[in-house]
Parts: sequence; C-alpha cells; structure tokens
Amino acid sequence: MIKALKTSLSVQVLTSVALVLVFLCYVIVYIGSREITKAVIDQYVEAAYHTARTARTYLNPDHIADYLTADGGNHPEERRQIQSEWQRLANRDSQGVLMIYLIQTEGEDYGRIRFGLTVVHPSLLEDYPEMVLYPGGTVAKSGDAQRKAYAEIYQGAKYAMVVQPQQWEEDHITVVIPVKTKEDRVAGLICVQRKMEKLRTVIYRHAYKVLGWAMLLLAVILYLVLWGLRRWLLNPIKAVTKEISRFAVKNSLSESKLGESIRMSNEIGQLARAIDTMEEQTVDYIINLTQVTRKQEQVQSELNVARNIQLSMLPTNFAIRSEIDIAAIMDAAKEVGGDFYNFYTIDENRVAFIIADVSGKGVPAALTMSKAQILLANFIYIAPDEPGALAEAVSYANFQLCRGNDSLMFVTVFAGVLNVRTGKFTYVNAGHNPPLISRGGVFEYLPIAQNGFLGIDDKAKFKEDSLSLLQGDGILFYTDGVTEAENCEHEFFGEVRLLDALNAHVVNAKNLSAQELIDYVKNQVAAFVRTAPQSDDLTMMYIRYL
Amino acid sequence: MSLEITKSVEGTSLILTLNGRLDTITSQEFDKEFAASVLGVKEVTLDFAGLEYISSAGLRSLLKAKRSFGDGPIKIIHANEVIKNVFAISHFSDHIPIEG
Repeated sequence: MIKALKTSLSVQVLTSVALVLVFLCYVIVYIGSREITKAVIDQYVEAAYHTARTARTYLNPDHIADYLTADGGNHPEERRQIQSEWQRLANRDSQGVLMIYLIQTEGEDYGRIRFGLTVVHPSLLEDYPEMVLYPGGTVAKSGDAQRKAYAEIYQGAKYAMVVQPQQWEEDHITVVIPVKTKEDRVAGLICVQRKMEKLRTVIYRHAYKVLGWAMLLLAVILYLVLWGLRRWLLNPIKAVTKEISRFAVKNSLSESKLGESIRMSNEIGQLARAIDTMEEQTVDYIINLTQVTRKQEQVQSELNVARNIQLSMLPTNFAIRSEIDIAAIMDAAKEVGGDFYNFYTIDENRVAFIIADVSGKGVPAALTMSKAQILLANFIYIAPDEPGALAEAVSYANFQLCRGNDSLMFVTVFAGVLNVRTGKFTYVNAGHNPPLISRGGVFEYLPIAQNGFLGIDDKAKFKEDSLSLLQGDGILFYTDGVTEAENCEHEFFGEVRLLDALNAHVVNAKNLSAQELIDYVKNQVAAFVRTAPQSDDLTMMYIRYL
Repeated sequence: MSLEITKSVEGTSLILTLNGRLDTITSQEFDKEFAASVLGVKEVTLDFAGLEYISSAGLRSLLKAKRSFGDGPIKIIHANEVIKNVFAISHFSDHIPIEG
C-alpha cells in the first residue's frame, strides 16, 4: 500500500512538474522567437539603412531624371561615377548587400517603378547570370509590400522596409529611403536589399538551445522534487502509516513519539502530533475502560455473592411441621432485592411467618432487608405467647430500624404466629399488602388492623389481630411485586385480578398443595405480564393448615 | 413512562403538580425538584391528579421531602384510587395526609 501511494504520488507530482516546465519552455521559445525576429530584422535594417544613406550621398537630387535614363541624359559621366561608387559600396559590404537601386514610382498607387541606377553584389552575378542590371528607364510592376513601403516614404517617413515575404521562407530585406530635393520633394527612392539569414534557422537554433537547457533544468528539478517529496512527504507519511498500523495492533504507546521523529510545522507535522495525542488519549481511555470494566466485574461478582447470601437467609426447609404445608418463592428484579419471607418454629406449638418489603430495590433495599429480617425474627422469636406480644415485638423491631435511618428506608411487614395445635393465627400488618385467606376453598382479603410501616416513626404503635384457621384453610402472603406486576400496556395485575385468579373455578385451593398454588399464581402473573420486564421483586408465601 | 413536575408558588405556599409515575427512577427527579423549590416556602401542596402510580421508592421520596421540609405542613390533593389504596395499606397518611 505504501509502495502504491509512493508510486502514484511521485508520478503525479513529477508529471505535474514536467508539464509545467514544458509549458514554460513553450512560452519562453514563443516570446524569445518574437524578440529574436525583431532583433534580427532591426539589425539588418540598421545596416541596410546605413548603406542606403551612404549611397544617397553620391547623388544629386536635381539630376534624378538623368539617372533614370539608360545613358545618363545630361550627366552621363556623373551617372557612371555614381554607378561605380555604388558598386564599390556593394562589393565592400561583406555582410550581404545584394542590391542597391534607385527608382521612381509611377501612378497614384505607386503600382509601377522606373529603375534608375542598379548595382548588385558580384556573388549574385555569378549565381544568377540572368539577373542583368535593369538598365535605366526600365519600368516594372511593384508588389503590395513595396507599394506600402513607398507610401510610407511619401507620407514623410525617414525610411521604410520590406521583409520578403513577411516571415520564415524568404531571406532578404529591403530598406527604402527617399532622395529629396532642396524643396523637400521626394525625387526618388534608394532601395538597399540585403541577404538575411533565414529567420526560421535562427529561431530553431534559439528553440533548441532553450529546450536543451530546459531539459537539463527539468532533470535537475525533477530530481530535487523527487528528493524533496521523499524527504518531506513520502517518508513522513510512511512513518505515520507504519505507526498507525502498529498502534492498531498493539494499542500501546510507541517508544518514540511520531511528533519527535517528524519535526515539521506543516500539515504533516500537525498530523503526526495529532496522532500522538490520539494515541495518548486512546491509551488513557483503554486504561480507564479496563479499570471501569474490572470494577464493574468486581461489583458484579460482589452482587452475585450478596445474592447468594441473601438467598441463604431464606429458609430452605419447608417441612418444619407436619400440621402445615408451606411453599414460597422470591424473584428479585435485580441481583439482590428488598423482599423477604421467613418462617420458623418458635416452640412446640407456634410457628412464625413473616413477609416484608423494603422500599426501593437493589443494594440499599437488600441491606435494610437483612437488618429487618434479623430484628423481626429475633424479637418475634423471644416474644412471649400472650396477647399483644407480637405487636410489641414488631414495635421493638420498628424502634431498632428507626435508629440511624437517615436515608429513610422503610419496611412494610406482615408478621403472623400460628398455633398449630389450636389453629389460632395472630398477626400484625405494618403497612403491608393484605394477605388472602382461603376458607373452604374461597379466597378473601384478610381484614387487617391499620398500622404504619417500620423504620420511620420510632414511637409508632402497632395493633395485632387474630383469627382461627380451620383444617384446609390457607393464607397467601405476597408483596406488591405481585399486585403491581405490570404488563406492556402499563396495567397492573392488581388485587382484583389476584382474587379472581384464586377464586377461578378451575382452582380449588382445598385440593392444591401449597407449592401448586404458588406455581399457579406465579403462572397467572407471568401470563399477564408476558414480555414486559420485571419491575419489582416478586415474593409469595402460602401456608396451608392441614 | 416518566414524571412531569409543574411548579406554582402563591406567596409562601408551593404547589407541585405531578404527572406520570413516582417510582425508583422518577423519585430522584422529584427529590431534586422538591429540594430546589422548597426554599422560603411555608406550606406545600402536592397535586396528584395526574399521578398514576406510586411505588415504595416514591413513598420514601415523599418521606424524605417531608423530612427536608422540616416536617412542615405538606398535604396531598387529588390522589386517585390506586394511590389512595397504597396510602391506606401502608398507613402513609400518618405521615402525609391526603385531602379530598
């Protein structure tokens, strides 16, 4: 992957640089060629102009008409003399004067010219023997470029030029200057034609030179760019990639920070430092998460132990007396709960039953629950077998529970003592849900004395009630987890449904064992709640007096 | 289901109207709201017209409220039958009376 990145990045950058350089070369060549063309032409024009001016000095402007004849008119000697001076001038110039000639234009549009004096370079005579000197008076047609140049002269220009043709192919230039009389009239025109090196050759030479240098420069620049690219881009990126790959696998800080090996202030440096920060924070986060997870696991395992402790506080031996059939369940909504049930024999005749519900749920409820369970069990156990003693035991437990109860945890309790010999059932309800009593197979809510719950008012008084159980009668104790079991529609199972379920014709409490009845109620509640999550601890205890 | 508490103050008497459920989770909101509202108040009325359900944790929350209010006068109005029943069973009216 790194290799591919390197290749593609290098290729892209190098291609871009090369393209830019090629474009620059083109621009340089283009601008250069224009300048060179101008310079070359200027140079030739200047030389030709100089020659033309020299040639003019030999002329007498007033004798132009004579020069324009073949024999020299009135001044044949003078014309011959000029001819030879001009020839010398042409011969002397090794730089390539081809022709010097004197003309007069004819016609409004200078469409024709009449030749006066003409000299040519000897080399031209050898190469072009047919190019005989135009004898004086010869008339020829003039080209467009020439006519334009003549017009410029007549408009007052000091000189005019004709590059033939405009560019590239042709190889000579003609400079035209006027011959003026004293009256400032243009009597004739002196044209000097010079050989010119082919412009294309000059420009090509220039272009090759530029391209040559550009190639060299290109090589150097590409090398430098490649080097810089590796040094400042590819190697850092490689280092970053390597570090990220390492971190992804190891999730630990490296020995040296990325920001220390990549000391750059640009974006790559920032990236390196950002990765350092990210790694540090990730590692911190991982450490933190590990700690939290460990702590959570610890809490969970402690909760599991607490659950076992709590469950072990519940009586497990249900066959304590042959006269009674007992069954009970406790389903905590969380690991530990605030409900409990308890039953135990007090003496040869009496058995105590306690069911309680601590406000709230979870650990705070569980702590209060264990306190309440021990206090109630002990006070009831030591209470004498006399009227009012049970209520007194409950009030002792209440007093103890009130002490230091700053968090106002309260407990609702139903505590009862059954004399298995006589069937007398004495009970105290401290703010708890009223149990259901089954007499002759029909359930009804137990009439209860109104007492407040335990744990809040240490001066609270408790009243006890009693009734007589007959053979086959039973009492169902429960906590509000049963009546307040909630279904998905947020409806409660409720006391009416509970009563109806127990009195449904399919149930005959007389024939059901305690365990069967508990299972039945539990199933009824489960059928009502269905998929809704259990919201509260659910506890039931059923005793059947046999 | 959650709990909505609206607050109105008339002079030194505070009326908190509860809508929804007062249970283990929502009772914490009630605790905060009560503590924040009770400063300078001499009398508190809890309007339970919109309260559908109260759990034992909710009752504990009311006890704490009463305790934090220095056992000043708190009363409950417009409680529904379910809540009245809970109060009856637990004798909670000994602590905070329901009126009406």
